[in-house]
Amino acid sequence: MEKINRRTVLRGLGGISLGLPWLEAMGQSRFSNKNIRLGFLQFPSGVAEHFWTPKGEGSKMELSKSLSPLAPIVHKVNVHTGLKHNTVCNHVPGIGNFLSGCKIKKGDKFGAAKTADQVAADYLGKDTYLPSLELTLTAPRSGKIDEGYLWAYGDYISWYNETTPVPRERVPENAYKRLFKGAKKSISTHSESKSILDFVRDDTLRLKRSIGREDLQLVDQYFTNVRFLEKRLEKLRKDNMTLPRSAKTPPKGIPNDFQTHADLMLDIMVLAMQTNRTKVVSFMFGKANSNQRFSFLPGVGNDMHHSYSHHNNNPERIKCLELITRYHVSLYSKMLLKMDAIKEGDSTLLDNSLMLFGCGLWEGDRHSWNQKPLVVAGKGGGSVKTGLHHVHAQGTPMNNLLLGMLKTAGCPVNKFGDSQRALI
Amino acid sequence: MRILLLFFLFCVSSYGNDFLSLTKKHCIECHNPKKEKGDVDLTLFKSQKDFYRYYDLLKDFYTQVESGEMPPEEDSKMTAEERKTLVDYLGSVINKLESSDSQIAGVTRLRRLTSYEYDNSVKHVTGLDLKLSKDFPSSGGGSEGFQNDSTIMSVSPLLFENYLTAAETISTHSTFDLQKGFIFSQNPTQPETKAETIKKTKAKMDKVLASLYPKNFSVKRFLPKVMEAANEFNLNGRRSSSIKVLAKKYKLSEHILKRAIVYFASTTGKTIMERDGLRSWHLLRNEKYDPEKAKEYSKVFIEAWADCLETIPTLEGIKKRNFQVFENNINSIFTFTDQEIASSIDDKAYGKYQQLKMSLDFYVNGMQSKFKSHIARQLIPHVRNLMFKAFRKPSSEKEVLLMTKDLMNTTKQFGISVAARIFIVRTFASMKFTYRHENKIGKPTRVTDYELANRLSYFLWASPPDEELLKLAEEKKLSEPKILEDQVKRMLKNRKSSGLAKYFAAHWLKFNDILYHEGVSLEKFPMFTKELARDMWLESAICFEYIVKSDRSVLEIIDSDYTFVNGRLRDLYGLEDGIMKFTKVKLKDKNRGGITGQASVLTLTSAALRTSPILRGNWVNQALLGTPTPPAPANVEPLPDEEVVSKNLTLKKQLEAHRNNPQCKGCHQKIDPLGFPLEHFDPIGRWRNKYEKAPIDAHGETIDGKTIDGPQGLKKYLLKNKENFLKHMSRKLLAYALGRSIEYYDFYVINQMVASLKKEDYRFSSMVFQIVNSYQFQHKN
Repeated sequence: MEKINRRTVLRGLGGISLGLPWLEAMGQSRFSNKNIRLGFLQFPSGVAEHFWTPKGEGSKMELSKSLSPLAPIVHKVNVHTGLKHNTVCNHVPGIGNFLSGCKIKKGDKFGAAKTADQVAADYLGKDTYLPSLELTLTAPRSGKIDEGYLWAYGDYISWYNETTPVPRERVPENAYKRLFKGAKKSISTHSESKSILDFVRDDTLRLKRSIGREDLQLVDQYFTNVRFLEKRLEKLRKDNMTLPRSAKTPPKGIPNDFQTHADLMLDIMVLAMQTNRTKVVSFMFGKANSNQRFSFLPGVGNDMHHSYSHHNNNPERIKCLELITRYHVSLYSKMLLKMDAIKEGDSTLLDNSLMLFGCGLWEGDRHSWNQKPLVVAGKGGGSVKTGLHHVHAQGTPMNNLLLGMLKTAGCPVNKFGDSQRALI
Repeated sequence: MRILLLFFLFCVSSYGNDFLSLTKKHCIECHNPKKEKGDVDLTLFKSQKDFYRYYDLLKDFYTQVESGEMPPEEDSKMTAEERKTLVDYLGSVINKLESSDSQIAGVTRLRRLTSYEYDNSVKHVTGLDLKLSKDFPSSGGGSEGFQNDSTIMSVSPLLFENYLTAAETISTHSTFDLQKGFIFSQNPTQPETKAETIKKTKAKMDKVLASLYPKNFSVKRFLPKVMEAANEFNLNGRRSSSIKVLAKKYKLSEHILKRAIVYFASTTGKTIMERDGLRSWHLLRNEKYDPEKAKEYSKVFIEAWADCLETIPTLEGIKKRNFQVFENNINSIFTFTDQEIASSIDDKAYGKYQQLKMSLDFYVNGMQSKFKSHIARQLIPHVRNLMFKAFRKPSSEKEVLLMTKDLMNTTKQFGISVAARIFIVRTFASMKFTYRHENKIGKPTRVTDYELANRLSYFLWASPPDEELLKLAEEKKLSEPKILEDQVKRMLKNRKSSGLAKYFAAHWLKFNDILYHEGVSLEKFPMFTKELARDMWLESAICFEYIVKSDRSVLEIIDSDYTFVNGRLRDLYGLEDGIMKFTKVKLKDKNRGGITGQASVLTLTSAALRTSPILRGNWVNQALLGTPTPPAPANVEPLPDEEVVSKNLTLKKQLEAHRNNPQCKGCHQKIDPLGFPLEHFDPIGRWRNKYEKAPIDAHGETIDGKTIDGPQGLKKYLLKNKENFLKHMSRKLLAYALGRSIEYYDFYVINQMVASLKKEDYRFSSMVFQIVNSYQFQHKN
């Protein structure tokens, strides 16, 4: 008779969490130099154009006002100027296609494309606990905007495929639990979970006989999810990670203030990469037509982020927009510094990462997207020279950069969207 | 029916040549596949069929040409006559399409339960309000604005994980009993281990047999007594009559004593145990001793036996096995045969005993139990019942059997308690629970009565069908028109129809956003608390619910002489009537009644510090009239933060200046006049007679030069244009009912709904009847 003692170690689906800290797990592993983490961070509403672009090219870069918070880490940062997607990228579609550069379709059904982070997840996520981690600070919306796009395009930067946006965690506690289940008491033991998944898988397969063709994909998706969890269960069983001491379970619910929320989420994101829970992350600071207010920043009024982007060249309002953008850069910079403080052998977590930070829109007032504000931090495992201001020929596809990131991380891809060549 | 449709199209196609030549002359130059100006390609209309394939485009095309917006004057000069020809032609195509009953169900996809439907469905099975969906990733809605839109529903690994975790949580609220089945309780519990269940069952058996055993019976305590009694029996010359006396003397049952005598008499006395005490066992054998000696032997023996009992785990191999045989023998002295039991306890207790015995065997051996078919007969109704509740329709017997078998199999491995929980998790993680499954056979068919019950109840209640609906479905009566009508009436009156207010009206009229609204300046309006926002939401929801439940005219959405307020709203509105709790109050002020006077909408359509006539006008256009306005061009000058910038420069004046800009004029002519009449309501919906520094001008002027004066004027205007309102509301309700976006073939139903409303005093139920009886509602593809 098998004894089940649930007072012993917490195992199973909800079981412990154990990822390996870098040194033990990866030190001499098969990835050795190729354990590269990719991050894709997005902020909404465009920038105050005269305050973004750095002066000087290449290593002669002088940070602009908006980018000034990057100063302490500028030697590990590249600023890319002049890249663009060759299709409509205003507030709403500019977020839906930020990481794919596809043409967003109008109408009642989704029509986007698989995004770079999800391509990366296919390759880099095979052996990690989660293929990728998607986090956000805002909730999605319903309906269509007047131009005929579904609002949802403005709410998701990550897409599995043309019709499926990747849902994200918004509640810090939930995101943390998902990564590190040990923070939570488990309900099922390993063998119980296995048995459950077996049943759900069989049930899903049987259901296939009684559904219409239009739902086949959906049922397959359900099935894949079961398989996916089964695999993860196996990984968990072999897993013996200990959490870094800095890790702690976030408080319940969604914090009321933006700063706390953003800090918690970015910390979780760094922790996920540090523990190799995943190698691919995407993060949304805000959604299209963001109604977030930043009046907590000195000098910023009570209007919404989106309203400030329509400043009509009013210097007072441009100042507010610039302050908001700079604030986002400062959060990004703070995160980079944290990553750079995490040692991985002779290098740091940041050295082994490529962290994109940018916006689909260049300038919100005119809805201009003839270039994008983009920064890439990290040395990509040592292969990327940093501290440079890359000024690209006008009209160079941003997909070149996305392709470059994928290739540097070791994804065997040679083309991404309208990319012409890889650049990094 | 498709053929009929094509016939219609054929009839109007005599104009087809004009259509082709006119579009070629005026439109195609810009709107072709290469240029696609404004993302529009009009060459898509190659044949008649394309009119319904690209129906949205067709309607948009019609609106643009009819309003004179297209073609732009500077690009192409269209004569009035040409315009009329094209408009008439497009209008006739649209009219024909919308007035013919094409009998197309549309794509009926599996519909995932929305988060609120999920919670209601869990409640339906468990009776518990666990609100588990609060941890699910929030999802937006489809193009019509409702969360139940199947077009955009997918299930990601994240959501599936959440389903699984939620199902596990549900399972912690469940216990299982072979007689009573699955029981759910408010407080979560730990499941029993297999060993615990076995122990408990044995204890229950002992309880049933209590009359056969003395009080506080235990083998260890009674063995010395038994041996003593057996010994005395031997000493007494083995007279059967003395058994009765001895049993009484030693407070043992005769059965036990008899068995002990037989056992001790028959045993060879040779134990293979190596222990000293047990080796002396043979001395006890069937001989006459003086009582003192017998007592001594017994003592030694029992001590050794107890000793062995303690050390069972450390005994090894053959030793262990032998001792167990020996111990079983000792135990069997105190065990009764079925016949013995049957003759000693009453029938009811005996039945209970039998049941426990079989259960015990099942708990130990699961599917390998020798009583498996008996147990299966007991399990099947419980399994069937839970599946019926969770899947909201009967499952095939094959499926029930399969699930039962799985339950029995897992029992052996995990014990019944955990196995039952696994069963619960599996059930709630099934797509048949998380989705609304309808059996498809690959061609359009009528939905079954059960499927109809589900469509009805998720539409009107946002919940699974109740017993009455399911019973009618079982009897295949629900689809009978008269019964269906009665049920719809019953359902609309039921408190659960508040689902229509919460999930339909709140999203259609967009007042749901007030719950998350952060657009009010709290410095200027400190009274705008979370509680007040909730009250605002409630007022709008309750008003709608009242129309639904009392089956009132839907025109009361636009204008009514009542509303529902609590203390906070009463003070906000400056009313005299009303108490702290939400109650219906009669409105003396004719400005307030109707959705345009409700604080929820008025607050949502304001900026932080001032009202926004543009947002308000836009809301009236979009939510009430269904005439969306094109987006504002990118680089327009923003309006000031407050209503009165400087003396005499009111927002209105500034907007008027803005409207003189030809780029803005076209749209603002349509928006502004519907927003300004509401200027008497401040940014949080309070009445005001003037701005802080200037008088209010609450006039709006429509394109055709008519004046709309104040809130009452606006309501009059809306009621005059009620056709648009009725059509728009019908469209929204149909989309909500079908869980998908509206296609050309749905306009037939929408027109029927509008006609029905007009005939039936605009009663809410009349639109619902039209939907419920429509081809699309009753068919699947």
